[in-house]
Amino acid sequence: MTEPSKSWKTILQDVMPPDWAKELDDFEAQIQLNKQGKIEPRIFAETRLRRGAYGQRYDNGHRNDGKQIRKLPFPTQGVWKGPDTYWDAPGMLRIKFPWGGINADQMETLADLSEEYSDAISHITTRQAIQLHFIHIEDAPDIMRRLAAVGITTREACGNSVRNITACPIAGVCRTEAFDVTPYARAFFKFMLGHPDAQDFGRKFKPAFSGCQGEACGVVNMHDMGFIAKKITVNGKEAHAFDIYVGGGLGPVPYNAKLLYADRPVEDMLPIGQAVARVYGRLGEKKIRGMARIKFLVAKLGIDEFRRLIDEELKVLTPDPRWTGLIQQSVKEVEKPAQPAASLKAASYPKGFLEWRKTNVYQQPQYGYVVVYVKAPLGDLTAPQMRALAAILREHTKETARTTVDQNLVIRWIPEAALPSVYEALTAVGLGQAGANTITDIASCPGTDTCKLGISASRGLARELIVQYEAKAATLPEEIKKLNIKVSGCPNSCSQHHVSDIGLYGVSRKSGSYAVPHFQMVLGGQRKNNGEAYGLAVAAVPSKRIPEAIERLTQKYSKERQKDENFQSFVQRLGKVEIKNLLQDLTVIPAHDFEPDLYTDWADVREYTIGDIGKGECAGEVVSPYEFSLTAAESKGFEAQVQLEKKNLPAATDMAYQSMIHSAEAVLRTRDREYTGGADQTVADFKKYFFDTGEFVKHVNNTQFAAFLFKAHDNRLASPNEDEAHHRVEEAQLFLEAAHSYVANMAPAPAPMPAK
Amino acid sequence: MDLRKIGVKFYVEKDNHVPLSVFIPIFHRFIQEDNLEGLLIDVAQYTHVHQGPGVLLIAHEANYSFDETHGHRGLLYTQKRPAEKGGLDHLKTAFRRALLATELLEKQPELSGKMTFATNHFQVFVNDRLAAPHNSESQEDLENALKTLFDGLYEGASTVLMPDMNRQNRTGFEVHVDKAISRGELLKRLASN
Repeated sequence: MTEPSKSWKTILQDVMPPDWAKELDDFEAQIQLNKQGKIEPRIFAETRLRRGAYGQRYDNGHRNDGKQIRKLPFPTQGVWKGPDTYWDAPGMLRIKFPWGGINADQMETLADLSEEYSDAISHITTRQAIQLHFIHIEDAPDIMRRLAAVGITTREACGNSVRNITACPIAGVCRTEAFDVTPYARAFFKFMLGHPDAQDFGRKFKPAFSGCQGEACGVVNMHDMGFIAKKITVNGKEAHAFDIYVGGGLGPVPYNAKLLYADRPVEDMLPIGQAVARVYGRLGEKKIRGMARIKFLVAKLGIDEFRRLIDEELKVLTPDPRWTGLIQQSVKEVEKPAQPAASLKAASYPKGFLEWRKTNVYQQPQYGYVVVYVKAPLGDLTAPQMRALAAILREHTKETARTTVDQNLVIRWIPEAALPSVYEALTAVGLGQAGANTITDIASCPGTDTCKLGISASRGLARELIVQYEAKAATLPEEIKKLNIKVSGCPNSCSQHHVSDIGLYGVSRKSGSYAVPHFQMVLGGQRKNNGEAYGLAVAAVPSKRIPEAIERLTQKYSKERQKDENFQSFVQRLGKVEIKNLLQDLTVIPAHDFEPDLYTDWADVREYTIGDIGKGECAGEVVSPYEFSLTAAESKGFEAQVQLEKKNLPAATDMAYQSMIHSAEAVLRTRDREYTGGADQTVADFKKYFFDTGEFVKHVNNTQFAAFLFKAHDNRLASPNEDEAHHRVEEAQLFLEAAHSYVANMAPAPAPMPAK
Repeated sequence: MDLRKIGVKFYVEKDNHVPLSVFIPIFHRFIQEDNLEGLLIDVAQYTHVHQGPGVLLIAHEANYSFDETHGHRGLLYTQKRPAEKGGLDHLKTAFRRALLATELLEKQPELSGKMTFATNHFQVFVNDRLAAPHNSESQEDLENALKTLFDGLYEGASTVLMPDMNRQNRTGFEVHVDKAISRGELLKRLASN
């Protein structure tokens, strides 16, 4: 066996790109310095995040085991890899795959790494990256070296940086695209990686590329910066151009991206990207993390002023030869097939082949070639599956595969005649399931499984829904089959629940002295047209009753839809009042002893808690005054949504504001049961006793939600536009969720407020 | 030789089609009761993937899992953190922990009478492609180490070591022992050797 003195560093030294090798040596040195206490954990946390090394649930050393909060006695005591983050705590490594591109060597490397350092699973994310979980920080440099040796960097996969560049997974082989955006995504990645102008952001920055306006693949509308391909005519000749968007984003409150420039020649892409980075770095919020995404800056300035600033910036930028050089170099890298085109021959096919072909195969515009969609359940692929995929890539293609934002994988340039053989190879490792991009193909973020912010078990719910819908897939009406479901564990939208037919995000509710896992249902999102419209929250339903809620909705849709009416139109026609009535009985929580199952989450036998704070000790089932305030806030929030639906925008924002005041009042009543005050007094007291003291933030783990209240109070929006009203209503819902979180997490006997 | 990250998988002998989900509450209970060696952290479950790692009990030093890789069910103990002491002692630790885990599993009410683990059919591998690259030299080193261990552990029985052919690019063996020796006896021998 290898001598102990051998290391991956020495073995791979000449295989890694030299600059990447040097960066990884530096990172390893920083790890050691941090371990020796020579780097502040706060600084080291951002350093490792920019290398893709993320925290994971329980890394603060505490975990509720179902009976008690258990301290995890990690062996290395007194050393932290971030504020309140134990050195030995398992973490997650996010690995960037720009535009989702992945080859056979990379798949095999991931398989090896997942076995040696993780849990033998490679997890595809909703931004085309791949994550490994349960990683020890001291293993990170070697993992990164082995990735670098096959052309992968994790640099800037997390942290306040330019994140993975996403793009349509079928770019270049798509029937509706204007042109292949891959070379431009590649150039953008190379240009922005480590760019000095992109190192001082207040938050992350997510770019996306789309080959056309009409489809959903690129979902440009929900990105910080997005490029949609167009063909234009210049001096009588056809040329490639982009419509360039900024300021979109999901997160708790989704914002539609605004058109920054239309019809800009592709050569302008990099200088404009650089100018946007500089303006965002200079003017973006830095102190309040929850308000620091570029969407807030664009909304605050307005797109016209933002555009003026970019125009000004472009005038003073020092010309960079890479602006055109990288593009010229990149467009030469053309993807080609490995085998000659061949049509599918009439024959007897393997069992299940035709059904699979119907949903999982996309005809390329290049005659005789197809794209195969591989369904990775919940984005998870095992090590043997990765190796089998690598073998398929090598046998049939020039290793042209990509991950997708729906947590799947596509294999491109398969000769159609090879489909039965590919299907059999996939089936041999359990990857031959039909139903790609249907209701059985559910995306989910990690949720409470591994994420520090998870409130409910998104993967547990998604898994249950997959089981239920796969069991009846053969008999489902087509209109239900076509629906898509996305599940997030918290309001942060990692599954992209805002742009799906049925979106779900984790929230909690209190029932007596117990917490109950719930999911907020978000309906009416539009995935077409690059994620054109966001859905709105309609009702919070206990987690275990979500399958029943979805069943009722989809059955009603199937029975009552008008000719060719899609789900979004149906939801709009039905209206929130009727939807709420349809689900009303499901939202009522019986006492713990009557239905204890409701007080646990999917695939988790532990009694449910938030933030690992156990069952409170408040006596009995007496309704506390704060619960009345929360109910009032719910009611006003719902009225706000109804008014928004009716396009009565001033009323919607006013109701949203009132909902926020009731939510703040609920929080105040946790410490003063008889608290009453007008709006001004309520906001002032909330700020004084709960925000300035850090009390509220400590329990909801986010500064953004309280900022929504202050913003709404300072700016009542007498004549809101539709965007502003939509945001205000969403913000009211989130502030209400935060109030629920506060109540669920607060100390059993909160200290009373000082007498006024 | 650097045997620092060992994997041992004892295959199931009797299995009444126990669903994977049964292991979720069991592993949570193991954490509550702290009744396996090592710092037990969390449960991860992959019941939705085909022939995958199944349900895992994530620990600091190693993962315990009810594993279905390549369609062979068994209790897999996989070391992640390199132990301070390598070599034969380390190999013994891995065997002992894996055996103790199978013993504990068989005692759980959900599995009682429905599942047993073989003690004479298992897989051993080095979960470290740096320390043990997949080549004949590593295979020979591991084979020699295992034979030394088995001389005491399976005294009186003959063992057959077959190189792992599962394309995992990892040094390892499938091991068959011609005689079943009780788990208690194996644990006793591991403690005394």
